[in-house]
Amino acid sequence: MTTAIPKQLKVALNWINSELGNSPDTVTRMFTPSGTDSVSVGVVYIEGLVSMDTVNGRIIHTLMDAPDLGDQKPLNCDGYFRFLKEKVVSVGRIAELSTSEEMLTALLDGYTVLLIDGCTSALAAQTPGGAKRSVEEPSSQTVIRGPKEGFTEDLGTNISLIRRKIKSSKLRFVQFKIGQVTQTDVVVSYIEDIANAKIVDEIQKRLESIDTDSILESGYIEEFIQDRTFTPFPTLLNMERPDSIVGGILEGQIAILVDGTPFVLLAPVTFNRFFQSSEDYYQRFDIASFLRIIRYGSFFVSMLLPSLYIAISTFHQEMLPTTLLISLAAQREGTPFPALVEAFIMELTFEVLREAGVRMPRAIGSAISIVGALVIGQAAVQAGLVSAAMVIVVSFTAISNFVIPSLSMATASRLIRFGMMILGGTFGLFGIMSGLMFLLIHMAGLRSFGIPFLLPISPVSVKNLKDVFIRVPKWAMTTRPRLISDPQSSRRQAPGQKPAPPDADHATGGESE
Amino acid sequence: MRKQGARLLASVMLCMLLTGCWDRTELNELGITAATSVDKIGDNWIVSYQLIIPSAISTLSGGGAGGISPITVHSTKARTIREAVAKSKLESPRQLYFAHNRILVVSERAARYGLSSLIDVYFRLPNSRETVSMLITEGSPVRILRQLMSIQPISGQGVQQIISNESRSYSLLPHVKLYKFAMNIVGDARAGVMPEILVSGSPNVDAVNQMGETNQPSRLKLGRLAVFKSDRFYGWFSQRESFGVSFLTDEVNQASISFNCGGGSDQQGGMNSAVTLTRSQTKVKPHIVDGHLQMEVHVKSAGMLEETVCTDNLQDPKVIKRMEGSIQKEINGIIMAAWEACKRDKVDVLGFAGAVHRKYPKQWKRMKQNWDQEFASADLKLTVDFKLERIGVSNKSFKSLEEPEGE
Repeated sequence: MTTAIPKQLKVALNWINSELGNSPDTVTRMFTPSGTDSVSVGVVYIEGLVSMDTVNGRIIHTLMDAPDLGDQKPLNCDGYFRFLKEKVVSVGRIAELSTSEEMLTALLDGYTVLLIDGCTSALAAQTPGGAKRSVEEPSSQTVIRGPKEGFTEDLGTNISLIRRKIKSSKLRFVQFKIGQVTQTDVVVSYIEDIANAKIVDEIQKRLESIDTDSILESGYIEEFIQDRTFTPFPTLLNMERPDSIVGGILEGQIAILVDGTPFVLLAPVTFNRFFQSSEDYYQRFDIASFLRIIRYGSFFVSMLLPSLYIAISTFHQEMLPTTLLISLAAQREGTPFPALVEAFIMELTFEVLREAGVRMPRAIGSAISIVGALVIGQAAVQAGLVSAAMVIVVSFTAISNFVIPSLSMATASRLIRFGMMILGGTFGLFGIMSGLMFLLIHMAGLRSFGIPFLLPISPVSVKNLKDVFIRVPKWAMTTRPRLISDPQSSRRQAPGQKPAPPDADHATGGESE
Repeated sequence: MRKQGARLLASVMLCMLLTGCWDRTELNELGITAATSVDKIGDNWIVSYQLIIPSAISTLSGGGAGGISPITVHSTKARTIREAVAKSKLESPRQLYFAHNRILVVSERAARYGLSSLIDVYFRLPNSRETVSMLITEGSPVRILRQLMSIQPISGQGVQQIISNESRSYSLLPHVKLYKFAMNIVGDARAGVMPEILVSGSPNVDAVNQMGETNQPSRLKLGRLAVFKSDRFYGWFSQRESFGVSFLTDEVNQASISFNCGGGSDQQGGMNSAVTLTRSQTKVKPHIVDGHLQMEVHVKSAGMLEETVCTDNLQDPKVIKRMEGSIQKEINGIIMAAWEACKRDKVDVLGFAGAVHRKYPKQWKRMKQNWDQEFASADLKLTVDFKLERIGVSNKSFKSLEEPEGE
């Protein structure tokens, strides 16, 4: 359903105003540019979406200062339109609009629309602006060494952050508008010839099939396009750091940028990807590998420690060293609840504290830590409600949860923990093993855009193992991860780049002779 | 799909109901036993338990008030061992838990009766460990359990540490675990050994307030070696004989041996030097010579000089050779003492039967009918090889410096 732009300027401006509900931020202005006395021009824009400097300086000012048309006047509509487009409006991106709907969309996208009395087409000049946050250090994924910039809510800024890092003509940005009401810009970014074309198609297909009112955050997109909903594990990675995203793009992954959020999605991802931090590649490979193993360990600790404690202390006491058993038993003397109940109380208390910490106003933030530390740390033990060992278990579990670089994977382990606790408290280690087996089977069945979730381990891909549990030195990573990137071009860098000192005779020649 | 999920959920939920009375036990429902003893009086087995009181231990380590005994001992009596254990439910608030039981003390009376039922209990029940250390005592074993130990508040654990340390660094008495004992008495030799534990001195120290003194009137101590034929107690070996048994069964790790360095006429002929054995290996080779059993035993050991008052030049290889010779003689004597004791009692605690069985499987069939006799009439061909590898950080004996001609 399209309607042509009304010929009469006044009618057109009134139509726009009424369509937008006479919104106070809509500015419509009608004037006669200099150099002509017969043509009326209307300028329409939405305040807050445009940059006032551009509108005033590049459009209104130039219109008013337009060069004299001389003997060409009076111009007809088309002539004047072309004159405006080619000589007057000094803005980079310009579009010709022929329908009223297009006009509205352009306005809402932050364009300034120029209408000419008597014309049925309008000119839209991109004058982006409005309030936006500047590029800051990401708050959720911090590193010690590495770039300190983070994505912002502004799509254009985010694209530029990626573009600035990859100066390749092969870098592609494909734009979608998703959300019937919000009309959110979603951009898919990848490098042609590195990304697997099939996966790019699949992602585009899934994005196109989204039919919803609104996309306010990349989480909306994630839920619509992920391979499986009923799983605790995320199958898309979200990142706030341009360097991580660019790293992924360079390995053949595909980024999905959503306007209005600094969290950019990356797909397809495998399980190990959630344990990689961009810092791994900036630090020396030995410490990076060590930290990565620590992260995997922490994931299991955060998932299993309370359940193991419950299982061992209620079913398998023979597994503990005698001295430890005695000290645990001494602590359990006088605690009123079974270990399972105790663990649940403590874990839930911690979750409450954690959630409170996130929701609480900054100003009273320090209060929560004091109350939390005193309540679950000391008072509960002294009052004999819980044993000291349980406090240690719960706090270590909580701390190790924060080691996992990806928050969504950390959340997964948090949820699984409770299931494991029930299993450990009812079936002992047997229950925990069964639970882990169930998880493993489940994970082996997961796919992320067709890529097996456990990829380098199951199915085994020896070449991909260079960056899973350990990170091999940069010069040894000669190929891109198999299956994820384009199968035709797997070469990442030239082999044999291991640095070595110059030949012995060359180096010591001066000294020995 | 949904129906399936519901079914799965229902079955999991039903499982949850089942587990309510399973073997889940909270830590504060356990009576952790550190030591157990078994005695037999008449028809009745008397089983005693040394239970750990965790809260008392933690106040002890916290330097708290003290005054509470870290252990508590009680005994039950019944016609079978497990019935006796079950009877403890009549008096103990906690469920007895044997997985951390460190020592098992049997009385000589029980050992004379036979330990088969005890071993059966240990092998049959899943939560009792076959790695428990076995000890034997004369008289009532409850005395051992009630005796308090300084330094180590849980005496059961303490005794186990004593025996395992001793067998590792002194090798006089072997560390006998239940499974090893059981394997030995059902092995070819059908004989086993067990170290003795005793309370030396009197009266017993069984109250915490007695622990305040620096020296207790009595303490737990390892004694002789008990010898078993099949599952029954047979007799005692002295510590010297037991040391020889350790050599013959290749269980010497480290040991201390005193000897006379010889040569110097100024010595009184007593022991004036000591070495520590750093390693020792025993090889046993049976031979049948003219239908007669001959055991060839070769002991190869090495050690370090730890003490001497010999004035000889220790850097002279001849002196070292001579010293090695007298150490070899000493070891030889120790081993021969054990061999004589074994022959005396006609009990093959040396495991020679297994060696013969392996080498002469055919002849073994005949021999095993009358193995004790065969064993007693066997010859021992013993060669001892000792190498003094180090003489410590002092080249000369201090004694030699005292001599006027010394520097």
